[in-house]
Amino acid sequence: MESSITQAPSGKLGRAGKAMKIKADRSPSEKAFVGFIYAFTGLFALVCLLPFWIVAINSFADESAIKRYGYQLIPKIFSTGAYEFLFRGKQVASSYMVSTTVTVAGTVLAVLITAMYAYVLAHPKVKYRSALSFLTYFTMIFGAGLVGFYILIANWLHLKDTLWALILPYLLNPFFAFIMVSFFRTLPYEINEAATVDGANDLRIFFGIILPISKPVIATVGLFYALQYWNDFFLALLFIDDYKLHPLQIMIRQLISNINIGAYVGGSQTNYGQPLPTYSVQLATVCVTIGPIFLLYPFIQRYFVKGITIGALKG
Amino acid sequence: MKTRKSLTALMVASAFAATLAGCSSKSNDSNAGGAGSASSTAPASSAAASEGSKATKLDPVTLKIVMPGDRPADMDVIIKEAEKRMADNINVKLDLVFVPWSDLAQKTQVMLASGENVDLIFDAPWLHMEQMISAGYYEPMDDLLQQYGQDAIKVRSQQMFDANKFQGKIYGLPLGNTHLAGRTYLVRKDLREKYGLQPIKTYDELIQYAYKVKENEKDVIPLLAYGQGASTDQAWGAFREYMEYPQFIRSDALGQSLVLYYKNNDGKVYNLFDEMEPTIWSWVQDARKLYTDGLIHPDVLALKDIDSVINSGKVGAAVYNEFGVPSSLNTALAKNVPGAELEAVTFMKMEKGANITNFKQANFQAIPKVSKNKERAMMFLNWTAQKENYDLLAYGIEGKNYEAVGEDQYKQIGTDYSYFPYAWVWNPTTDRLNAGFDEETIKHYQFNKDAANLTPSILTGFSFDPTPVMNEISLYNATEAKYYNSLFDGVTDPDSTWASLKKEGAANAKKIQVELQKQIDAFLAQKK
Amino acid sequence: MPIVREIVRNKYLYVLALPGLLFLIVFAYVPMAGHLIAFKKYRLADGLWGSEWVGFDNFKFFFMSSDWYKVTFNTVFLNGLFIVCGLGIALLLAIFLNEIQSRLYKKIAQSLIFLPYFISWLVVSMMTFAFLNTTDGILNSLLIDNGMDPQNWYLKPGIWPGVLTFIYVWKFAGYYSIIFLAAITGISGEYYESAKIDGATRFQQIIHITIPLIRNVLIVLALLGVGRIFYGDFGMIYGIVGDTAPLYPTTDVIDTYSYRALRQLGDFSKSSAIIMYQSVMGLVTIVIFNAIARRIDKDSSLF
Repeated sequence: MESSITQAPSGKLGRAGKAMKIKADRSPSEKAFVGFIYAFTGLFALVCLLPFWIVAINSFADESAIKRYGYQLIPKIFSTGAYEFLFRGKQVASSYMVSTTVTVAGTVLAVLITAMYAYVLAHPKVKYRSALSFLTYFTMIFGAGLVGFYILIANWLHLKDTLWALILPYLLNPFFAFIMVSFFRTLPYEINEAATVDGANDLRIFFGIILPISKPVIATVGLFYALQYWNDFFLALLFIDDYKLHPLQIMIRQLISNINIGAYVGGSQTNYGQPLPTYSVQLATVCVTIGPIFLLYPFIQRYFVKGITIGALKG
Repeated sequence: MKTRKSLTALMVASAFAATLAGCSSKSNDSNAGGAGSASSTAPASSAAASEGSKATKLDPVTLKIVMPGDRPADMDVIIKEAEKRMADNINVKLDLVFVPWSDLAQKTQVMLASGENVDLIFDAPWLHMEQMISAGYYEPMDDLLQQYGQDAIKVRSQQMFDANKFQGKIYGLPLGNTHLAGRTYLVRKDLREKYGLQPIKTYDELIQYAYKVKENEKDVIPLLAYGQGASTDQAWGAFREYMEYPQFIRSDALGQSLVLYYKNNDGKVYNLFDEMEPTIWSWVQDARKLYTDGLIHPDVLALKDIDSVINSGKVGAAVYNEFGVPSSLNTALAKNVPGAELEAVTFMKMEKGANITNFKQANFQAIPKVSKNKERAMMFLNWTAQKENYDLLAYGIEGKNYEAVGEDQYKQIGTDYSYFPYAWVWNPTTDRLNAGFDEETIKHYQFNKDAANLTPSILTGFSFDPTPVMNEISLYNATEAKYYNSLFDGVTDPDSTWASLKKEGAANAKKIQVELQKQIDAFLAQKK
Repeated sequence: MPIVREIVRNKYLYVLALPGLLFLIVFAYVPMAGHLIAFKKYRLADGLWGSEWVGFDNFKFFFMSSDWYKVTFNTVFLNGLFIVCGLGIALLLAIFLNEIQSRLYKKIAQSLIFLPYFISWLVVSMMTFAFLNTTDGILNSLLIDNGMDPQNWYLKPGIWPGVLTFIYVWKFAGYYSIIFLAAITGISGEYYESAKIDGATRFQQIIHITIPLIRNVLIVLALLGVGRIFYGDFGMIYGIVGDTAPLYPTTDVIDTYSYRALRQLGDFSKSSAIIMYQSVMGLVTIVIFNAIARRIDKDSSLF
């Protein structure tokens, strides 16, 4: 039995879906196993939640309370001072706009380009897929030189102070491409063959059949791209001088980096008398930047929970 | 990872930037003609210019200026006012680009290497001033200063210019409000008074106070110094160098390290590996005793944000790079621990000639070679030397952002225009002091504003070229990073730590010492 | 010409790949030429091509030190721990989450394990310090409450590979588990149904169905990590450890070491040389591991 299953015989993918509910075996060892699963995931979730709770709740704590008592599970004194500091000025609204625009446009484009590219890398018909894969992977190991990259964007493509400078450089991430490749490889080749017999060309197969059944991986990679665009400060740092086009992360980085001036100006004789952002401000920045992108997550989750079986599609 | 990975290459840059530089120098010439004739009739001094300049009005030019930090909320208001004031004379518009402190080195380096059009840029020896100069990114400004910068020269002492040349030329306008940096111990005044101690006048009294704190306060750690990164001069033992006489002065070759040092102003480089200076060794041993007695913060090597530890009220005294207590620290401390207050204690002498200095300044504004508006950039720097313009750029709008206290002090109002004159306009003449400082601090500042009160180092004007010993310096730095702070903060056993440092570092330090001495000898020979 | 024939035959497929290919050429390969300066004494005035060739001079500062093999070892060792523990725990989480029947529990748990991904290194560093510091750290308070002596954790390098691995797993396991979840979701329900009919327990189903079917995803992720095994995570390690010298023996990686050594000099050529070293070592490693992966399962290799 095992061997036939592990070899994933694609030919057996016949009748579909009507998931038969078979009661799980109720043997004691099975119960213990289920118990272990709940305990493990629950404990891990708690280890993840607790620090985040501390971050979130202490961003509402009064600065002096943090200083005196350290991080508290329930702060002794509440204050919205940190958020007032972050939201002073009109910058935040426009920064949110910039970040959102870049994230949405970038993610859509990037997912499309990456999926198309990964599909080719995974396609058994493509003779040079190994060479292409290697060339793709190679860029992960040998990165672009910073100055060369800068000149490319700023001087040759003239993208400085445009939103394109924040979108284009991340359109194809080899790491995400390979995640897609490994997913496409698990798809049974028969789908392809059947469609070819029906007279569909590769473009139609890709857009008409492959993309719809790839929702889980598209959701995953889409989420990762969205995170990458949303969390990026590096491109903005290099290419956006106009503060009106600053995305959220760079705005926050400017505030936060004042805290650690000492670390960067070792040996200077000057006291850089900046108003120091505080512990609670650092915590608040986490909450401010996490917000929208984290709301997206439950929406994407349904693709993992529900799941789409290939069999169901064919039937 | 991305940032580190990319910390690499130049490349196409070079060729490209070089072409750009070529182009711009041509266009400069044509520019220079126009600007030159204009400036002869319209010297950018404020009052005269506003009346007599109509005939020779300059074309409007936008200067792109790169600065460190965070854009103040009211920046646009100040820029608008400044542009209004400049409209009738030098006719400059301002495009200020702020770069986060954490990314300053990287971003400015890339901007310069790519040949991007920037007219003024902040740089400093602790950032990458020497490297950028030797890579040829900056325009020497001696002539520009003579021609368009007379006011900027006037508000600074001659020593400031003489001492801050690089390879014999002025590559950046020195920014500084004093000729000697202040060093203090910030002490909890409320605790000192609680124990009935008199104001602290000597190091021994400071230590007595620290032991009192140890005995009486369970939650307060008596002493705090720096243990991270390049601030090695602020490790507890090393910091004493600033306050004891005769002075040992850190060499020009190894950052803040005391391993190579000068003494007696004799133009010689001394090396602690050759012969340990008994005084310096006593500082190390003293720090060790304080650490093992539990006086120095046990995590001194791991603390990154010293200020917030100070204002949390959990330390009795800490080292600080400034004469007075910054008002932000005292305000925050009082909020966290009601009734707590810091006072600044310094043992630096305030007598004429007691302190030796090489008049080096920490911050500069440089004009990149690629700038198409070099003359106008200098005119702008010159314009900032006018008292009322300086006040505007340094402190904001009077009555809104600050309140003038007499001619030379100010009080900040609100936080919409944060303090950053050190990044672009600082000079000792028009600068105002924080009116919140105590009397003693103000005296110190005023004393050290006058170059004549200080003994010039024989090496004033010398700058070290690290190129011949690059490998040795980077190797030595990596070695020292492992041991130096542990040693001077007393965290590890002095004898074995020193032995390790010596074993791994002595050979490289020797080569650096020899090279430094060679360059110094050449400098001194030329001086005579 | 076989290339032309191949392209004509699969023209639609190459059309699909075209945008991606263009991207790689323009944004990755063109700027890559910059690494040449690792072998040059770069001067702006001379330009990249005109600058003097100096062979391996720029590599000297690194290999002349007595520390280079130590930091190389630390880099590989820490990254190895990160890959094994990070992927291992992520895989477990994904499998377990998949086994959970309660929709609500599953959704909530999934969301929670993703949270740490968003916490910046700066904040992670502050929390680590709040937990481990000597005077009022949470761990030391616990030790004291239980009658034990407080420890100065920032002077004990031995525990830090463990601490860093814990933090890494905590921060990234949720992120990686999403990839595994997506792969598991792609498995046809039929396998499980027939297994159930055959009387397989859940544990057996995991061992015999789930793991074999997502094995190639696991291998690909591992390979992706292995190629970068000589690159230390600078943001993480410098963010958490900073310049805390007593911890260098176990935490100092190539990137932090060269950062400190070059901090004062800011020499592009030397930092480029370090990256050369890391890249070439990574390339050799990945070619070896990819060959091994190919032998195990052709579908799991990267190229």
